[in-house]
Amino acid sequence: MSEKWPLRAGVYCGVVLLRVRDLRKSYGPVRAVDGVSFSVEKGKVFALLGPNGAGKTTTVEILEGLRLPDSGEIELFGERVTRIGPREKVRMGVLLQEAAFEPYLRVQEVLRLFSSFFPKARPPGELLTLVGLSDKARALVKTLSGGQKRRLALAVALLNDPELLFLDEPTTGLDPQARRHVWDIIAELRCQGKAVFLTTHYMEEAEALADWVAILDHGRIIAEGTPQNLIRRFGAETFLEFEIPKETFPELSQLFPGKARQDGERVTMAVQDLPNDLSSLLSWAAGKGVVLRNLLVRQPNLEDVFLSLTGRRLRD
Amino acid sequence: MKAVLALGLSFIRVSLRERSSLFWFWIFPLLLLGFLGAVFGRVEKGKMDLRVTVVDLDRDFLSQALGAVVREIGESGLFQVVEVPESQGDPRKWAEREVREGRIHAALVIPRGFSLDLQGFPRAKADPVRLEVLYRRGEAGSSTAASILSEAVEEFGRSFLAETGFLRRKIPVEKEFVGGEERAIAYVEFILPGIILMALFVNGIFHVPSAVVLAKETKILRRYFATPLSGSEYLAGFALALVWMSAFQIAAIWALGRFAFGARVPLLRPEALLYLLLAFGVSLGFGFLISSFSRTFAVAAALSNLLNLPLQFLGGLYFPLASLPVPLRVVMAINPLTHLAQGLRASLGLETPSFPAWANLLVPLFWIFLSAFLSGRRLRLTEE
Repeated sequence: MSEKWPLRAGVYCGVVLLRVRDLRKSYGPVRAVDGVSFSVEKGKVFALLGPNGAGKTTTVEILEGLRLPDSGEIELFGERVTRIGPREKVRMGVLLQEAAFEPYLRVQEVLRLFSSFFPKARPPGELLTLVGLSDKARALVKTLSGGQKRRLALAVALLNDPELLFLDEPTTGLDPQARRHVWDIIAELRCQGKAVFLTTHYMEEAEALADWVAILDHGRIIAEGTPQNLIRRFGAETFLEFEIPKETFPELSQLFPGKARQDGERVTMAVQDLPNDLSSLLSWAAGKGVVLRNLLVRQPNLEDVFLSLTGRRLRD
Repeated sequence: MKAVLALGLSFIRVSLRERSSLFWFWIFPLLLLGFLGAVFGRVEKGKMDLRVTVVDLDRDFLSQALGAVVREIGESGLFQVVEVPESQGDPRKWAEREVREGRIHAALVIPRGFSLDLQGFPRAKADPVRLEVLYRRGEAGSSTAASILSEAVEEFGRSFLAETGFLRRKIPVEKEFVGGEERAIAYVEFILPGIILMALFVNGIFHVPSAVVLAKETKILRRYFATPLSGSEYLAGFALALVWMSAFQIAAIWALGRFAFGARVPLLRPEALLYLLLAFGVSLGFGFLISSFSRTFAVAAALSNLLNLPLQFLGGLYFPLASLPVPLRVVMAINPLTHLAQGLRASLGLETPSFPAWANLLVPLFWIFLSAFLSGRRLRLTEE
């Protein structure tokens, strides 16, 4: 995916709503966040990527006002803050990783309840239409599916028409159609000049939505930039992907030393010279009688960048 | 304030929709009262420790002699004589108030001129001086005490005056009720305040951990506190809901007792309301105390269950505790439910407390302050 979803020109460039410098947080001997710095601009989507345990959640929770940092500077809406309190939260929208609502409240009651926490709020009906839950307004939360709860959580995050939105894995559990719908909403929010702080497990989501990506590992940002720049930095390799019986992999890796990576029966090969390498692969397969199932040729993406930087897949 | 009210409303909604909450909060207390009322409803409750007083307005030798006879009968263990405090400007009014409010079962008022009248001295008014016995109608203890006082006066007339030759006629005694209605007290009236206290206590020790520990464990609190909502607003909303729900619950229990079993329990007396307020405070305090020592809801539920039944049964909510063995009496003495039950029943004229009134107020207050102090130090609604 090379284009933003949808492609729009930002008109709020340069107005920083959130700036973080040297943020640190430890739990005993474990440094969960170890000197993280970044900024989020108005009208931009900032994506923080990282495997589980990288410090992503702790970073987000500090910025949502749910945890206190050990040290570091946070500048929010142009003011330096030591802790994020009600004054800042009024201007923020938060979608937590786990959509936890009182199961015995109805959907519209949840929205009315959360509306009461803010000085002004958007009408619940409008939000339910926006997230496609109008027909569930009177349903109890406990009867909603995981995807519907996620959409309710998004509606709650948008209740106060926030300037800065924290979306922690907003599309997890959604079907492809609903995911695209959420992408549309996020893209629209960006066009409205909202700043979006996004964490996701879906690389294509980060590629499609993010203006800036930071990759976090072991509490540190190990790479950052626009998705295109990060991929470009990765090199001019092309990827071959296919499936072969597991026992044939050692022989294949001898033929292409350091290029092939195995994940079950799935093999990914990074090649510099596609015609020659592909020809060698097909010859090897024909000679050994190995069927290359689901063979595809693709360009590198953020997942490859992530994998090469962290040695792990994003959902590991 | 908007947030507090909205939260309160949401807690009420949840309690009406969630099955276990619906059962334990709204149905169980009524079932228990229904069961106990149906089985024991018409049974009279046990022996009472009677308290009487003698108001001697005459202060002459015959009135003092009558007072001495009453005290002598009291020393036999039939009742306890409460002396009129020195500071009382109007002892009769004091006695009337004490009887009306249930602290004393009956009062014998000896009017001025009683001694002279008995001796046959001429007085301005021709009518004989009448002794008064103040009591509360509809309370077995009070009626019994009044009868005993009347008997004491008769005995005084018969034996003492007859021997001294002062008796000219039977001493007229006028019983005057200062509250209540004439009827027998049923066990259901004894049990009803106990069930109200049980319901209040259960509300606190089970609902607070649910609103605090469970909501924290299921990350509902995190979602709330990612908004401008503060911890104190959240707790205020919860407390508001619990006040409303408890008020409705008490009204429902009272109504069932009144209309199904004919129980007459005047809960709106100021003293009774004070004890209900204290009971609410104790139940909240215990709930927060349990929550502050529980990392998970399973632990909180176990602690609640561990405390619930022993405190209820050793608090005299369902039966009098006079015959408890000594070690259990210690538990009884420090158990706030004991004092709340005694204080509430005394304020309703249903029981003579074995503990003084100050203890019945101070022990619950002590628990409220202790639990507030410990919870304030330990309880965390968020991770940090």
